[in-house]
Amino acid sequence: MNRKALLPLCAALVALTGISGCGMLGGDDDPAAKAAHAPAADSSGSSAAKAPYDVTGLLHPDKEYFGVAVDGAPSSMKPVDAFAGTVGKKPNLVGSYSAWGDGFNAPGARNVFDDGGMLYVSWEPFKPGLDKIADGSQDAYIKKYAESVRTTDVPVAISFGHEMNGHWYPWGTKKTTPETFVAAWKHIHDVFQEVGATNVIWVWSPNVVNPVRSVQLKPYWPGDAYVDWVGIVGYWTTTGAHTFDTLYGPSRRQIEGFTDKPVLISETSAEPGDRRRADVRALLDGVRQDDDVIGFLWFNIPKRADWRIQSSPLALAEFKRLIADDAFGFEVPRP
Amino acid sequence: MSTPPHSGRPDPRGYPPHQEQPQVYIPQQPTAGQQAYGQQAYGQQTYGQQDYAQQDHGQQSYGQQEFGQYAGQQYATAPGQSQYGHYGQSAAQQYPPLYDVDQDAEYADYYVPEYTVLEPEPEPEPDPGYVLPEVPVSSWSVDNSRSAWISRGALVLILLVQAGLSFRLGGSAFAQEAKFLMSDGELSGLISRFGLTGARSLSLAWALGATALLFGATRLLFNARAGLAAAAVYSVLESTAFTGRYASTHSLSLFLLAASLWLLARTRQAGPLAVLPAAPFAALAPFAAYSAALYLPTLTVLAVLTAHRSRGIGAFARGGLFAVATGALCAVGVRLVGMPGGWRALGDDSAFGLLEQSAKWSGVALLVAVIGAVGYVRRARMGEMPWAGGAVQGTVRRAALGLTMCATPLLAPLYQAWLGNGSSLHIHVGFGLLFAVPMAGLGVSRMMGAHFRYPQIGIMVYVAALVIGMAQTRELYRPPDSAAVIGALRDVVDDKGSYLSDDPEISAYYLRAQTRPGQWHQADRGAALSAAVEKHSYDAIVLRSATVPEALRGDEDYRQLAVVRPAGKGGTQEPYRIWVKR
Repeated sequence: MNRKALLPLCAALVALTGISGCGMLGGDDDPAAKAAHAPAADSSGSSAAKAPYDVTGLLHPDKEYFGVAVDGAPSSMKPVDAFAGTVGKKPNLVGSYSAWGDGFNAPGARNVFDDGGMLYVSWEPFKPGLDKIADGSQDAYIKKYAESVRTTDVPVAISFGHEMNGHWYPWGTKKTTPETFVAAWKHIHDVFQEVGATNVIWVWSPNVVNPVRSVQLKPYWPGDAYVDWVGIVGYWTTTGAHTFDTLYGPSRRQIEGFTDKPVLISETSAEPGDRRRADVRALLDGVRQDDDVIGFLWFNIPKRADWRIQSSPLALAEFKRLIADDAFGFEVPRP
Repeated sequence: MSTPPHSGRPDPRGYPPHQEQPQVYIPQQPTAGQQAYGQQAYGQQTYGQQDYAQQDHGQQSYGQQEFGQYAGQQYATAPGQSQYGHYGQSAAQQYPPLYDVDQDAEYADYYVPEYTVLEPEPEPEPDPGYVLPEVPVSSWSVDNSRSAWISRGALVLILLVQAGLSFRLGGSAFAQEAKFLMSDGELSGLISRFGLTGARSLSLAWALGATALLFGATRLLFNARAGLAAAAVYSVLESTAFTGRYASTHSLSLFLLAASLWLLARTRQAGPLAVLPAAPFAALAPFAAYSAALYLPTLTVLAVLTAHRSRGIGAFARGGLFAVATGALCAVGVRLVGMPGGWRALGDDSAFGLLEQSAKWSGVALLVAVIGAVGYVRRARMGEMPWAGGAVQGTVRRAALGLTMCATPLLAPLYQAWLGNGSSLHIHVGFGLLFAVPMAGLGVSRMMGAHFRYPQIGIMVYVAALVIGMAQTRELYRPPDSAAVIGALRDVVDDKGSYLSDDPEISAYYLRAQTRPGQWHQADRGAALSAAVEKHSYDAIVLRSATVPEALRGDEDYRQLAVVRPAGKGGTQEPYRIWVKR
C-alpha cells in the first residue's frame, strides 16, 4: 500500500469512529431521568423498566364491585358477555376456581383485565394439606404460581382456602386447625412478597357463621398485614336468613372485632323460589347502602341448585333494575 | 578528479600543454577497464558495491572505507586494473613514465615561474550569539511539520476511540454521581443546569485532555512514536473509559496530574525556577481526588530525573523547589478547605484479592512498561539514525526513570491492600498507570523495532489492551438500574413526605422536581431498620434487597407496593423493593 492511500484510509477510519461514537452518543440516554418525568408506559421501554401494577387504588373503590362466576370464564369471555347482556351491565370482577396444583390462569387474568375487569381466584387446597403448605414443602409450586401472577402484571384477587370455618372442605374445621390455616396463609403471602407479586389483592373469605355458630372466626384471621379484603360467602336460601343483616350481620360483627378491612360479598346467589326476587333486592340494596361493603360476586352456575339469575324471570327483572344503578360496576383502571 | 588540462593554456602547475598525451594514455584505459569489468561481471565478482565503487572514482574513498579489504583483493587479482585504480589517487605518479628526457629538453625554452602558494589565514570563528540546546533526536526520519501533523492526526484517532469507549457506557447515575451532582456546592450549581449528561461530558473532556497531555509529555521525554503508543495504551484502559464516563472529579484530578507531568517535561531544559508552573497543578490534584496525593512523590522524583540532562546537579534544586512549592500549596489548600476525605479508611477486603484485581486491570500496560524500561536501560536509543549523535542520558538516570515509572502503578494497589480497602481501586490504578504508560509507549515502540520493523507487535499489544480494557469496563461499569424504581416512586412521593432509601442520592437527584434532597434518608439494616419501621415516620421505604427484611415482614403499617427488578438479564443487582404506608 502506498503512502497516498494511507492518509485517506486514516481519515476514513477517523470518520467511521467518529460516526459510530456519535451514534452511541445519540443512543445514550438516561432511562431514570426519563422515568422521573414521563409515565413509564409512555417511554415504550421494556416491560421490566415499568413499575408493576399498583393495586392500592383498587382496595377502597368509590363504587361497588359487580362480580360474576360463570362456567367457561375467564378462559373465554363469551359467557361473561352473555351474562352482561342478560342483566344489562358488564361485571368488573370475574370469579374462578383454581385447585392446588393448577397453574395460574394467566391468559384468563389478562382476558378479564383487557375487558375492564379483574380476575377473582378461589384457590382451593384440596391436597396435600395446609400443614404441608405451611412447612415450605410446597414452595416450588407457590413460587411458580406467584411468578406467573407477577409477570402477568394485571390485578388479581386471590382467596385462599375459602369457607375455612366450615367442615365441608378438606381444609375446613374437621381436618385442620386455625393455627395451621393461619400459618399456611402467612407462608403463601410471604412467598408472594419475596417473589414480588404485589399485584395481588388478598381476600380472606369465611362462610357466614350462621350454619356453624360454634366456630369462632378470630383464630382464622392471619392479620391486617396479610389480608386486603374480607370476603364473606353467604347464599340466600329458601330456608335461611332473608335480610342483608340477618344473613351477613352475625359474621360481620365478629369480624369487626379484629379488623376494619373492606368487606366483599365474595360468593352469593339466591335459591330459586318465591322469595328469590325479594332476596335479590335485599342483597343489592344492602351492598349499595353499606359503606363498608365494596361489592358482591354472583355465583351464576347451576350446581346442586340452579343459581343462575336467568332461571327466574321475575328475579332477573329485579336484578336488572337494581344493578342498573350507577353505584354498581366500574372499569378497573389501566396503568 | 584531477584530470589534466587539455587546453593550450600553460598549466599553472607547470605542465606544458601536451595534446598527444591523451593519445598515449587513452588507448590503455578501455583495455584495462574492459578487462576489469569483464572479470567483475563473469569472474569472481560477488559484491555489487565494489562494482559501483570502481565505476565512480569520486566514491572510491567511501568504497575503500567500507570494503577496503575486498577492493584490495580485486586490485591484486586483476592485472592492468591496478594502474586504473591508482589513477584517481595519484595521477601524477602515473605520468612521469610518459615524459622522457627528450621531451623535457624540447620544452626547456619556456619560462617556468616559481611561486609558492600561501594558504589564507583562516577567518576567526565568531563567538556564537545563540547556542541551540540539545534536541532529542526524533525516531521519525525527519521531524518536520508534516510528521507533526500526522502525529496529531493519529492522536485524534486515539482520542476518538477513547471517547467511543466511554460512550459505550450508558445507564443511570451511580449513587456517588448523584451525590456529586446534588451536594457539592457551587460546582453542583453550575453542573446541575446541564444535569448528568453535562457532568459526564465534562468528565470526558478532562479524560481526553489527560490523554493528550500524556502524549505531549511522552513525546518530549522520548519521542512522538512512543508518545502515540503511550496515548494508545492509556486510552483503552478500563480506568480511562470509566473515569471518562463517570461524573466525578477523578478525571479532573487525572488531568491535573497529567498537566503537571507535561509541564515537568516541557521545562526539562529550563532553569530550576521554570518548574514552578507545574506545582499548582500537582497541588490541586489531591483536592479533586484524594488518591492523587500518592503520586506527588513520583512527580517530585520525575522533576529531578527529567531535568538532569541539561542541568546537572541543578536538577536536585529543581526537584526540591517542586516539592516545596507543591507542599506549600497543599498546606494552604488543607487550611482553606480541610483535609480531603477517604484517606485512611480501613476495610476488610483481602489484600491478595486486591492485588490480583489490580494485576488484571493494569497488568498489560505494566508489563509493556517494564519491557520498555529494560530496553531503555540497555540502549538509550534504537539507533534508527546512526548519524544523529548527541548526548543521551546515562545508564543510571535511565534506570532511575524506568524504575520510577514502573514502580508508580504499584502504589495504589499496595496502599489499598495494606488498608484492606478496595473502594474505587479500579479507578485508582489509572492514576498510577498515568506515570507508567510513557514507559509502556516506549516499550511498544521498542518492540516494533527500528523503522517499524515489527508493526504487528504494536498492533497486537494495542488489540490485547483494547479487548481486555473493554471487557473489564463492561464488567465494572454497572450503574444501578434505577429507571423502574424512579418511575414507581414518582407516583408515590410528594414534597412533604419523608422517605427512607438505600440510594437516597439517586432518588434525590432524579426526583429533584418532586422532592427536596432533605426528604431522603439513608436506610440501614437490622435493628436500625426495625427502629425506623417501628417509628412509622417514613412515608415510603425503598430497599435494594433480594428478600423481604425481617423488620418489614408482616408489618401492618407498610404495604409492599412493588418489587422492581433490573432490566438486564443476568445482572447481579438485587431488586428494589418499595413499601408504602397502608
